[in-house]
Amino acid sequence: MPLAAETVRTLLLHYLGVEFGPAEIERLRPLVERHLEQMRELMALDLGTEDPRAMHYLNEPRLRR
Amino acid sequence: MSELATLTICQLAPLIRARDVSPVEVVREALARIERLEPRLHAFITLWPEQALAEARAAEDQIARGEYRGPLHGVPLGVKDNIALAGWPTTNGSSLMAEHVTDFDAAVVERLRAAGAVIVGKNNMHEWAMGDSCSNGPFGTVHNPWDTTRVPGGSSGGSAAAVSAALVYGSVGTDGKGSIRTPASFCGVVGFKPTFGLVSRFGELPPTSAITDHLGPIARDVADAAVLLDALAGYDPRDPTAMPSTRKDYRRELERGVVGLRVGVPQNFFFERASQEVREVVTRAIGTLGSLGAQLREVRIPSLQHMHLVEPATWNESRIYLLPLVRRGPTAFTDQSIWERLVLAQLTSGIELMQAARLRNLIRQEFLAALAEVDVLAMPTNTSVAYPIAERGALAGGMPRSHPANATQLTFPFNVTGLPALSVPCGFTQEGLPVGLMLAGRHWEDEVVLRAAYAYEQAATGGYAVPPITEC
Repeated sequence: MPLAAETVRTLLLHYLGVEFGPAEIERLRPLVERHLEQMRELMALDLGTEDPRAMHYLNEPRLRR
Repeated sequence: MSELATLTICQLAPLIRARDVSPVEVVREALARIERLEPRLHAFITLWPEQALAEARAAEDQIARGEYRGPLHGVPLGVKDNIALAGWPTTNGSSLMAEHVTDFDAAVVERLRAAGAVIVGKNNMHEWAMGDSCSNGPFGTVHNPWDTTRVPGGSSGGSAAAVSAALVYGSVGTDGKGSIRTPASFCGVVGFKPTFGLVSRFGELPPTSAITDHLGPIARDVADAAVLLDALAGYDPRDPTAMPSTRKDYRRELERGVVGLRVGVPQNFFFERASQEVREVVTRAIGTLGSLGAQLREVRIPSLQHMHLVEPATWNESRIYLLPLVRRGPTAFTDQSIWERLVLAQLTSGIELMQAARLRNLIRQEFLAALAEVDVLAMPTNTSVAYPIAERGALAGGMPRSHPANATQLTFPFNVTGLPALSVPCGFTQEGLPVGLMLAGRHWEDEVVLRAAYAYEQAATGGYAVPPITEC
């Protein structure tokens, strides 16, 4: 979804605490749109239930032998 | 070029041990080759010839006294320039750190020194280890020894170029997304990303990921990779992600062959993304493993179709280190796409990070399920061979061709899963560019991966292929 420059500016200020200029905002705008689209796609994935056995990321078992 | 130059570590070591060859002679010859070829390759950021020769003389004296330490004793090596060497600049490939000098050695450097290796220089790399081209960096563009108009791959491109062009006998690289295996594949040498936690990351400079980063060897052939891993592996409490592991003799395991070894060939993701020429060369290589007695089986890792969603939600963990540089704007970076990626990395929310962690876990479980049925996996290391330096920035699939998501998309799954993965040369394209076969295995079974690679290499390629540039 296309984002207005002001929306991108506000978003970056909120997340990074950095006030970017117009040229930087224009440069970043399509990349931010693409990133947000990817995050929407990620959050839409059905990764199964909240079964605790599926929550291994909490203790990273790949680190255990 | 002298005969010494094209030997592998395993061939050179007995000569040094028997005192048929002096480490001083070996190091002096290596420095001469570097002096001759470095203007065309830019494989190093820092060289310290006087110290290297002093260390070589010390090694010579030790060996003369009967204090031989093993196959790396007196052998000239390089290390990537994001790995700390006490008293040497460690730049991370960034002009902002050109004067940065550490007062400590990284764990891998300590281990190499303990094994008697002579470190002759710090290898050039992609700026901040965040790219696969090693082009137009502040310390010069690294060139591929097989075709100097092409990239060496990255981010450990200087390491792979130096090993390939016989400037050094091996190097240590870092791999957060494919940065050991991709340049190894592009430059026609062996690159091994070991099991996560096997090799200490202490002294690898940030930005480094507690999830995806690994250190490992880049070598002329598989046996040398095993020798280097023998020296590098081992628990280090200074690295919070290191794990105690059983001491293994990786070199000794090489000769066991592949008869009966179950080799899984992924039927999704890897081959479908590779170029036709890469597919053909790698398919032939896998056929060679079959002819050696390995059992070839088809496997699938379905959730890899979502792999592209793991990356953008993963990097904020490591890239936040560079957040202060974002304020300086894109011109703070020679590769300005790094500035863009740093900004984007901070837009990931906590819930997105958790969802990405769950997806990562799902992919990992699918790999483990596949590896319950087979012993190793075999596939292309990269989608393509080394691309022209001039193409950097050209669009491919909607993003710059040099974007790491392109060249390294096949290597990244083994970073997020922590599985050991190795790239071994498996042939050339019609243009004469090296192609890499990637082999991966179960956690803590690094020796099985090395063993399969060694069997293939011995049967198919014979090992180290010397690029034509060395004769110039």
